[in-house]
Amino acid sequence: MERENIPDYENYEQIKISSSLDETLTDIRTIMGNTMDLNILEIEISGVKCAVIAIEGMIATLNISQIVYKYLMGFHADNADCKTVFDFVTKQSLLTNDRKTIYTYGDVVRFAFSGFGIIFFDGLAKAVALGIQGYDKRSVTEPTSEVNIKGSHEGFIEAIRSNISLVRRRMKTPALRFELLQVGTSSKTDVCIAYIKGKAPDKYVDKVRQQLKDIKLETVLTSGYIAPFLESGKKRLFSDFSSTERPDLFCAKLTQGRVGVLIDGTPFAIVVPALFSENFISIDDYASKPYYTAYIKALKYFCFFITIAMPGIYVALATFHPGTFSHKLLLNLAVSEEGTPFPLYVEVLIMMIFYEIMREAGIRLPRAVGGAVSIVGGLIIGDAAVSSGLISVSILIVIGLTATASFVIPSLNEQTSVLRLIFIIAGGLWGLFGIGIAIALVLSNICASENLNVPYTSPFSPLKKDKLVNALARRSFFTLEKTSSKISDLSSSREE
Amino acid sequence: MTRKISSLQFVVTMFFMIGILTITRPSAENTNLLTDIISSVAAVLIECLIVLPAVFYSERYNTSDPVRGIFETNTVVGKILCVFYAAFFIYAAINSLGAFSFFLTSNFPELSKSWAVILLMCAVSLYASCLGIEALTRSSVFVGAIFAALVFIVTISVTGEYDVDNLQLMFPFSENLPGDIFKETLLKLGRSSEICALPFLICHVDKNKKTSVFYFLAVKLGFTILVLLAVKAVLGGYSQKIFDPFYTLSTYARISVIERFDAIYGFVWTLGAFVKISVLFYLGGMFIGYIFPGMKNSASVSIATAVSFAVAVFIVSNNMWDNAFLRSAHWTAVVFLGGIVPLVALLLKSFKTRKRSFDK
Repeated sequence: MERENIPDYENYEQIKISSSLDETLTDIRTIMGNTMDLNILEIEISGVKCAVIAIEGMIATLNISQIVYKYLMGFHADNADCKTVFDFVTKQSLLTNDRKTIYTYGDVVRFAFSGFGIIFFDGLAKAVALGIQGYDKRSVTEPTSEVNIKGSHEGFIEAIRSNISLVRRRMKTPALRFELLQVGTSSKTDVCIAYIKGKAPDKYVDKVRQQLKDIKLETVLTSGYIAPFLESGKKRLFSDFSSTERPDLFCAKLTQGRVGVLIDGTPFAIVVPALFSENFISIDDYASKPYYTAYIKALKYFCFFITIAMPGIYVALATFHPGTFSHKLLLNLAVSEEGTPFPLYVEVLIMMIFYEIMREAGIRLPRAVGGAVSIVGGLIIGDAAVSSGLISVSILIVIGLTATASFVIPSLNEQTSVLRLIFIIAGGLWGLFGIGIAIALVLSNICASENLNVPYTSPFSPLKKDKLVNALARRSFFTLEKTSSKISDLSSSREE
Repeated sequence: MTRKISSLQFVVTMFFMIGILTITRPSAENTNLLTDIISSVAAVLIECLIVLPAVFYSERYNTSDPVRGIFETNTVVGKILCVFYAAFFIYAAINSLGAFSFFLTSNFPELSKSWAVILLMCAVSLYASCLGIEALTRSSVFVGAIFAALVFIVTISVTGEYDVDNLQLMFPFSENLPGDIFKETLLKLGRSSEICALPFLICHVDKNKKTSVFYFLAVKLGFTILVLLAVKAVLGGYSQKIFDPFYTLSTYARISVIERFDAIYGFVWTLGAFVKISVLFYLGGMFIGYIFPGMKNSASVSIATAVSFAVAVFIVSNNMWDNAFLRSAHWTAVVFLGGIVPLVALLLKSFKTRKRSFDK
């Protein structure tokens, strides 16, 4: 008899598994195009024809032979039929923790490509998926982008289930919930929503779930693919979500009632909503004395200002308002600028772009060569530029200070790099008036950002006095004992 | 779901609607310090009375503004009022753009042409006002912090220049003190265009509306008197003859690394003017939107901006800035738009509510 629905790689999702084993195996070979990493093992268990399929490299070979094959092959029952064997696998044995009965080819593909072994039984239109994943993964190592001194040295890795366990290990509360979704029409990437029930408002979780479900991308390979869909959706300079490589920071944010998203294949988790002030927080703050934390945070805010505005302000003052400088400073400046051929703002722009080139080269190169780039750029070219009279020494100092300050807040690197150039141009063209215009633009943009109704600039504006302590210093643990901090307290809207 | 602004955001935004104006405009010539102080107090007290209906209206009808209330009763009258308000806020925007451009091009002529100054300011204010009142008022808090720092540094760093003799409380001597105080009070009232904006900002304030208005008026009075005293104590009678006494004061200020603060003052004024002009564009656009209900917010704000830009450029490039009318509104406009319209709206709405409950 001619079949109505013959599955292929495009229409397999909803088609049911056939009760004929031969037909099922043919269908699977058709759907997967007989791909070389598909392993099909046909066996007889107590006289019933069965087949185990798995994807090479995705399962632990030792596990499948010791846990599955050994027990299956040892099973004997009188007059056994497919139902008896199925019942043995699903009800009378403890093969693996992770065991699912599946009915469609969509599930077959999803589970097989997630590292499950799938057992089919001749005569049954269903199969059993056993979790015996054993693909290679990186071991848990120190996070590279958020290094700390006194906190945990564990970072997320690429495998989502390991990341879930890293979070669960730190939060042993039943209120911590994980929801798994698949995102990406082709990649079917596992994406996990994490939140603490009772802390994260339901509307936050619902919104994030809906935003993830609405993603129609073909592939999701890094957190960067997901992040734009979790933003408030408008053109904003700063991101109103945060991303972290640290399970401890992730847990801290979940405790504040935020919603986290773990993505398979990337060691960076996303958390929404985020605040501007969080860019100045590190987990080490909680290992230091509050007064020291306050000092370090003040330093970081100052560095942020220097990073984006210092070259622009320098250009503006030196070009249009030299009277602002004290006489000694002005004389020194005049002497150093005397021999240089370019206008001041062109000089600064050249040096800034040169610095960005060096930085970009240093990031992408192997570490051993990265050091050489610094020597070539910083020492040789820098020194040559000054001694040849192309660039003044004072500019080199300004650029050096700016670059060093930018390392203090690496999470804002993208924004500071571009804003710095805008400030230089604005300062070079219109002096401090231009700087004022640039600040007004940036301020309006930042102040308009809000995710899940939480303003990005909170707790500064709108001012929340009780939360301000955390933005400028840190709360003492005695205060934390008494009060709980919820991100939803910063919400900016009111219900009518 | 409606948007809200905090009490602090309201106070700071309202402050920027007047703050720069207060420190940049000298009083009428031959006004002594006593007259200045008494008239400032009197003007603020009158403003207290003017804003009462708007505050009561906002307390009672929460998020609705008085013009919306009148609209619900009579659309034609509502639309006519919208025209008045839109025209007033656009006028106030032109006034501020002109004042700012005049200040910048006369003190820093090398920076830019006046039309370019107006264009840049219009562009950035248009962008900000399109982002909405919440974002705007949030920005104003940051600008407020910068502004407060500047005023603090300037007033502290000129302490060496203070001379009590300069204060000359009764000099030049006034032959008709009550009359002078009255005239000066009306002049100050006319400069208080922010009072007309108050009914439309207070309705966004989440809580403590009365306290917010009280704080605003207290800050306004305190700041005005502080600046009056600081300027007079350093500059003496000269402060009456210059357009921008606080700017002159900032040129006297110096700290170890900064020789003079005039450029920094210009920078802070840029930010202050940005807040004020953005709010005025927003309000102008809001009323154009009331007149043409289907119009997008960005379109109505763009119309308000375009008109303000064109007129401001025309006025500034034709050196019409000396015209007193272009410098400040008449006190009657402030009383009508800031006090009488909200009062009428309050009475109408109360009457309507009472009638409805009586009918039931």
